[in-house]
Amino acid sequence: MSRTYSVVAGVTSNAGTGLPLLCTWQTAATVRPKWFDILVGASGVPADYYVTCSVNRMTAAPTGHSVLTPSPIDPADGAAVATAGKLATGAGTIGVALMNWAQNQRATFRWVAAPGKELVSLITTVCGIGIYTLAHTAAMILEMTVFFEE
Amino acid sequence: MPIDREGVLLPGEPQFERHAHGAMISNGVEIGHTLQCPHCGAHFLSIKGSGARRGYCYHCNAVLCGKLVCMTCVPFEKMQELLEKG
Repeated sequence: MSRTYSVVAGVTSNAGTGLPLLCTWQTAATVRPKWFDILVGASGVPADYYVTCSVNRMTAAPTGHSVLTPSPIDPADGAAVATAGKLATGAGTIGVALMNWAQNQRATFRWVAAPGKELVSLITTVCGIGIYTLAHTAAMILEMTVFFEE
Repeated sequence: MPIDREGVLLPGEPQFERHAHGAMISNGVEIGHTLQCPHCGAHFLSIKGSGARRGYCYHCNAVLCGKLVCMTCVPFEKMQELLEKG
């Protein structure tokens, strides 16, 4: 039976760098994290700025990131096998696009998958999914939450 | 012409999907549905009148995302198996 986790991060948008703001990946080919819920909003002073976010596959693990510990939704579950991180400074090579959207800083965006239609990581090692910012009119602090199961 | 829906820019009027694979919600309002490509697993919005050529896989019985690599039928699960085998 799959176990569900959430990862939360407050990060500054980094448009054009090709580095993931928030990502999960696996270093052993034993699990396939499946993203089924993504929430992105902005904190700070409200302003009419736009940010284009993209969810992409990663073809290499990130480096220089801050490690995030996925929280199990059910406290009885153990720690996640998948690894999560935010604000990578290197690698995290951007791969195939899985979804993208452009949102105003004043808006809170959410995407929810129907059961069985999640964004699934490939089962190879060091392969995952990340949220990238492709463009923004001004840097902003994005509050992100991702729910995934593995 | 992009339209603003609850603070999210959409490339046009989104298509209602009878069996949506995902929902986009902004400020608590459902603003569009997404479909999932059965070959690469990507989610995409269908926009009314966009003229986008996506294709349809009769084997998977699903709409494709339109990427050239997805025009050949390799179901996502099959791709996973191939990767697993190396």
